[in-house]
Amino acid sequence: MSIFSALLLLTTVVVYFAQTESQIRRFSVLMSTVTAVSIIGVALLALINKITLSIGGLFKADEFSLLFVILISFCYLTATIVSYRYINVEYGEKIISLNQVRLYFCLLPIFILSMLMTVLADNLGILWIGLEGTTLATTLLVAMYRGDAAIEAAWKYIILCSIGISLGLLGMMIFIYTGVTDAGLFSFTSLSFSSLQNKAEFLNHDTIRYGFIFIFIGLGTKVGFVPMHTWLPDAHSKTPSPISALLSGILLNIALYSILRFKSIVDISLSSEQWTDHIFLAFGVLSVTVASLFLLQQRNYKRMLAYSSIEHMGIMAFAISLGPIGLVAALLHTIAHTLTKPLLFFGAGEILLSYRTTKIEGVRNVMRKLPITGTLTTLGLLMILAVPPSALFTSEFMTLGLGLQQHPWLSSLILISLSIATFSMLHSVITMLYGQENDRKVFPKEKWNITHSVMSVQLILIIITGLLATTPQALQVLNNIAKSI
Amino acid sequence: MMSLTLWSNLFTAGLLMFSLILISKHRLPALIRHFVFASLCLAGLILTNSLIHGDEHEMYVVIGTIIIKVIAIPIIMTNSARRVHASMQLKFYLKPTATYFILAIMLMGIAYMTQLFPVIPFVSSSLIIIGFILMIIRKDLYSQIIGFMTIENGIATFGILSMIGIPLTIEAGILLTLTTGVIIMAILSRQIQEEYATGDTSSLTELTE
Repeated sequence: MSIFSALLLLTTVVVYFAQTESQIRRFSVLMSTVTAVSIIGVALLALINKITLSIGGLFKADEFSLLFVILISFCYLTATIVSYRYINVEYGEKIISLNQVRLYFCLLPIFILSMLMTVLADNLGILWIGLEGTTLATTLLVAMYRGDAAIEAAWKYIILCSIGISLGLLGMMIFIYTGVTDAGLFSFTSLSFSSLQNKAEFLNHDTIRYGFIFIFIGLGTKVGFVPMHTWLPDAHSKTPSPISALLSGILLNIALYSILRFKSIVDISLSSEQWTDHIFLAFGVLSVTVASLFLLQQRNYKRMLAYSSIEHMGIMAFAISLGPIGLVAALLHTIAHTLTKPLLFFGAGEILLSYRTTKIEGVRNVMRKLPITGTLTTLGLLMILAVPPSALFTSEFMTLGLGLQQHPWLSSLILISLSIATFSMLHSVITMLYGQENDRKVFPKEKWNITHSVMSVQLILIIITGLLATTPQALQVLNNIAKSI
Repeated sequence: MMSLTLWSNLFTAGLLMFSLILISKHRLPALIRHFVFASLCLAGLILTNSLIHGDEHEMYVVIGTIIIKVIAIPIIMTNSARRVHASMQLKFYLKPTATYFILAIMLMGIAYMTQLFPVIPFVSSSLIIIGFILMIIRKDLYSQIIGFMTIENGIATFGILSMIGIPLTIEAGILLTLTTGVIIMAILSRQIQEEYATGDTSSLTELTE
């Protein structure tokens, strides 16, 4: 952990002192490749050999957190590679200055480090610092373009997320309080997830319920659950596209992951999953339904993708509420969403670089002007809409199959909402791809670039995951990971 | 001579009183000054509690609280406002009398809830509610920052009064993270005032559905 932290911090320091934009980008890609590949290597080794690493009671790497470490590292690598081109084009067109390029590549490794801290934390305090760190590291990135809308989005983002995470801190303190007073833990050990889990049966039931509500509302703000989601479409649509990809693709999942850690403690304490499942069910259904209605009226394609992320967080929450098999489906959904959503944001970034607008009405005839981006984005869209062989098809099939048995009416509502979302997204994207434009701008013929390579690799991985997800062996692996929570 | 418990009660009362007075302040220097007094009372509360329980490491938290909340944050906010020549007059959605009326009802509700379920102390819950109300009834960026910090004071008070004793390193990390948050908020508030030529949050309407 300390070596990887040092590598990420070194990247920030060197980027800060680099002289030219080219040096900054090259060094960032080099360091992200070294860091991400080595982290993925170590995490895969630990996962295969089923090794649980623990560092001084502060950090712990079990199967669940290792899966997230791999996903974060993969997203870091792909986002940096895409940024190499994206930032270069924006710098070339004088949209951003050298200082903004420096800020971008300095904050990116800190953001990644904060996410790694969050998923590897075995200590409630470190988890909180990591989560708040993700907000602080990305706020200035949301405000990077300095336009009034970008600054407004950044203000909403930092205020709402900081309040949310502060309420989460209050919830965590309530957990610590019951750990000390009811379970007889020392103050330091009561900060540890492992200790709280081991002593969960001694925790006061009412107190822990109270604490969990604060944590759910607080960290749920960061997940983007409706009605605490208002910051999310603004922030995700105003940030540079590779950062939007990280925010939507992995950060939301990490916040959800943090809530799951507390859910397991509450479930052990109450000797039942029913109480927490009801909370996940309510917020899951609400998020899917409201997000699909907002998707219906979207006029901005990046906001459309952000609302789609809220919808997917809702599906995951719904899946989690359905018991152990639902949790396996939620894990599969997490992996697939983390691979798919960044692909769409990378595609959106390419469209933005060419058309210079995020408004759907300003983008027409993409298939003729940007055939490679158009094709890859369309395939990515089909994957996010859970068209087979997307892994999201398997996870949503599992979720709705279970849901129809346990909550037929609510599952039907989700099915209707998903249909609305599918219709809305297809309608918007088809308009962009094939719609005829009024302004006949001349575009040079699109050439294959590094972003297309990254998008292609992601597509291949999504399809492989989708095919693997139908095998009993893969489901068994996911089941083992789910059990490690 | 006053006992430590009495001092602790005095600081708790001071913390609540100064936070309550914050709501009626319509000039930025007065708002910041009352936040400083409230934070000083918080530092005093941590100090007396550490003396009562013989917890030496809390002394560093007292120093940290004074450096960050009493000195650094007020300086950062004042400088940020001066650099953009921000108006010292703060704007309200709701007048103080009406706000106090709503707050009184809410505090009575909290007092009742605290009797029923005494996990979070009354002072702590009240500070969190005061912070929220400050953020809702005010239309300016600085009041939102002070509102956020008041919520944080409420959470810190819970940590002290419930005697859970968070380790120093973690507490230092939390304080440092909060300070970074306030610095970023100050940078953003400066950028907003440069962009919109006002610190009025009701002008932030670019991003509505």
